[in-house]
Amino acid sequence: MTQLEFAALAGAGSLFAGFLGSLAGLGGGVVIVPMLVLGFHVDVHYAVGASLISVIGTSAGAQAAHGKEGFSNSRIGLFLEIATTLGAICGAFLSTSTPTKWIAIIFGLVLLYSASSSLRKKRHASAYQRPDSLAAKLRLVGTYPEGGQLVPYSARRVPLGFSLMFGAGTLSGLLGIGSGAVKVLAMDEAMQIPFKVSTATSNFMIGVTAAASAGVYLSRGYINPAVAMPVTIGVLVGSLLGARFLANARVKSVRIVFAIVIALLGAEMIFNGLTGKLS
Amino acid sequence: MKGVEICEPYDSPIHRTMTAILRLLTILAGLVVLSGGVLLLARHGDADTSFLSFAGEPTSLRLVPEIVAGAFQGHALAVVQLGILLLIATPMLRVLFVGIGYLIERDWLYVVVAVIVLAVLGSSLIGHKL
Repeated sequence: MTQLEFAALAGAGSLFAGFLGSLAGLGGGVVIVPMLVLGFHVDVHYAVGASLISVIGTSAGAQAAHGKEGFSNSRIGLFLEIATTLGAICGAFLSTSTPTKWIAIIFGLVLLYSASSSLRKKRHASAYQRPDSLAAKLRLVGTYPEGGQLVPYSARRVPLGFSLMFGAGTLSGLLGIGSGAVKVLAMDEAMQIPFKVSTATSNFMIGVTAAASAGVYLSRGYINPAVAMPVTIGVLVGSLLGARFLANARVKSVRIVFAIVIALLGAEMIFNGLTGKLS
Repeated sequence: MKGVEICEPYDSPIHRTMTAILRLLTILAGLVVLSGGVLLLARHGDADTSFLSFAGEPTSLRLVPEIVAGAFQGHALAVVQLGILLLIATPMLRVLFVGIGYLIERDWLYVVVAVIVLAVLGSSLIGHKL
């Protein structure tokens, strides 16, 4: 394959991935690595590096397109970023010593989890509870508008949420994904933050987390510009188009299609990992 | 209720300026990556390529000062890396802005939190020995 052919094909694939990912609300990152590794036979480290850059691009592009962070809580986001960035650096370092086989299997499992969580019904916010002492000390509280009035909320179980966020960061650095699904899990289930707030805050955090691992990848020579270039441009354009399209698309059916696609990719990654086709 | 924050002022002039700066930086990063890509494909578009085996990039494409120097000499790959570097800088700048916001509010606890996050982010870009 010539340089031009690779750039055209990988760019087109990334554009499609970014478009679908932004419609499904999952980001394009989850399909970039399987596409590069399974479709273009790119080394998994280069694929993860390129994907990380595209994750930053999507996150920055989405914020540039919308211009505001919705109901995100920047105290909660910033505080948890300590965990995600440290985890991301840890994951980026682990990726050198982790055999490709295991990266493929872990990746597959995360894809299967993301597919199932994207189809799960959103839990309604539980009744307001007093913040526990640590959340109160860190002022991890806020309000969000619902039905014309401001509903107060507060974070709970901060140490558990913080540890899960470290895990989300590690996965992000190891696999080159935004791990939005794990971040929402940590905030929704563990810290009991309302869904609207946790989703917006997770979007705010994804770019910062990916930047931490991307820094390590770049400075260690894992970012191949010839691979990252078409992927970054493709995902960036695709997700901007997706954000434009989002207003009048049938999001539910897109979500289901995307969930099936990433579940299949997940199964294929696990299969390839187990049978030693990727090494 | 005591101790509960009101919605943050997303539409204040400072916030709008910061959003505009971040948007410009994102667009600039995209354009730099694109122009590096055009240079690369114009010069080496018909060269055979394979990314099957991992070799690791040379220092000229790894360390910030060398990437910047290479890009200004017109090396296509270094121009792409410079765009990527600008993209990595966007979320860092966002954290810096949030930190400045807390500085203005004199919320020292969160100024410290922002400084910690910035330090972690900054440390990632220093060349790491394998």
